[in-house]
Amino acid sequence: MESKLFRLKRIKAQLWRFFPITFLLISLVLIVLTITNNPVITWIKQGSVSVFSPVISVLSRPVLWIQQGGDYLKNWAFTYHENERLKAENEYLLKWRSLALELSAESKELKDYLNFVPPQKTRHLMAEIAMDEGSAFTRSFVVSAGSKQGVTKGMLAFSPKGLFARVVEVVPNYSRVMAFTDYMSRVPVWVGENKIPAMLIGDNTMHPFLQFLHEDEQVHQGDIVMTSGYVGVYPSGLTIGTLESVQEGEVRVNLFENGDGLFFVRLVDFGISSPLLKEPE
Amino acid sequence: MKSWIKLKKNVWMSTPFLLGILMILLGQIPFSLMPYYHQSFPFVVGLIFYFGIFNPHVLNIFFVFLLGLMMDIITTLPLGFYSFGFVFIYFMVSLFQSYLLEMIFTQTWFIFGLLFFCTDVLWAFLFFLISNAWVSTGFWFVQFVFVVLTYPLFCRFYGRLNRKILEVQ
Repeated sequence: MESKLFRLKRIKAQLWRFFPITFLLISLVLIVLTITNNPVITWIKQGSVSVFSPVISVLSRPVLWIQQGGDYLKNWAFTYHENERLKAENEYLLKWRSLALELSAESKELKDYLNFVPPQKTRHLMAEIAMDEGSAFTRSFVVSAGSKQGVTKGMLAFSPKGLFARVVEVVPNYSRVMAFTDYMSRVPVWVGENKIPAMLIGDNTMHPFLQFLHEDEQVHQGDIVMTSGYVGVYPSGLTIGTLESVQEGEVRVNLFENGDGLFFVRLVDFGISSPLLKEPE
Repeated sequence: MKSWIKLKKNVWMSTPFLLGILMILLGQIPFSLMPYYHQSFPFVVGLIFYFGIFNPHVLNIFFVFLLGLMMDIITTLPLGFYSFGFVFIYFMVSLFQSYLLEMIFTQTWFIFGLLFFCTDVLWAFLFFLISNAWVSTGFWFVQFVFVVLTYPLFCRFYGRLNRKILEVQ
């Protein structure tokens, strides 16, 4: 009886030794299943956003209060300098305002002349950042607005500085937003006044790089980078940054916004209905 | 009275796992530890390493795997990515546990750094296989340094927690 018990214990101990290897193999299988877009895994991942986001929202309250308090004190301390800066900026912008009014009148006149059909009106909504998933491997956020609030896959995320992300996953009360700096991000862009086409590729650094830029094309540091609208996921002409560095074989972009330190984002629906934005059945 | 003691024991026994969950969740708060960008750090690897050496019964391989899965579920990375790394650390610790138990703190710290470096390299390699892109070395290095440097701070807390758990055990 005792020897049987001893044998059982020995078998159990030997099985226990193999357990880590089994779990390592399970992990690898799960990775493969996720890459191959297994519907169950996708469902689990989407469901997790609804489960964990409210918890993290509650946990993050005190931290956000401290951060906002710090910002308030900083603003209070630098009010005079900020006021001076805003006055100078206002003066500068007033010049642009008169030019904008002039160009707007001219544009309206030309549109009337050409019987121009205006694009579909955009839809806006504000959402709070509930989760920041930034790590050495990803750059994405979860915002506290989902399909119930009217968020749809493909909506674009803006900060006061400009466009910086796109909605990639939507659940009833939350959505996942992927920044242009994320390794999965691909944005078709135009570079410079000549609208040279290229692809903006995120690699988890602060400055994503450009690919498929024709070797003969001349681009320079400081050239504007804007969405091209190719493939139909982004509308054309939205500025997202300038060229940071142009070196042999590598062109890096300085984004106007990379999404760090934001509390709120503005989600905008441009009414794009690309087949790429549809959920797989 | 007996059931109360049992409950108390179970609560203390599950503390490392619950602490791991809390650490993962806190890592996702939109608050930046770095001056210019947000980056969540897998501090939980320190917890896995510590309890893997000193009290593997309270944080067994199954819980370690679950912690990894939870990290995978929360982030946009494929399921199995973090769990692979966490289980790898736990596996290596369990292989050399008897040696690690005899070491002084500085030696264990060095081993932790070495093991976390290997795991980070493994993650970077997996990341390359998944995305066909190399991880940005800057963020990767910051992650490594930050987790290794803060290990002694966390260790003090884990030590106290472990003593309390051993008392009720």
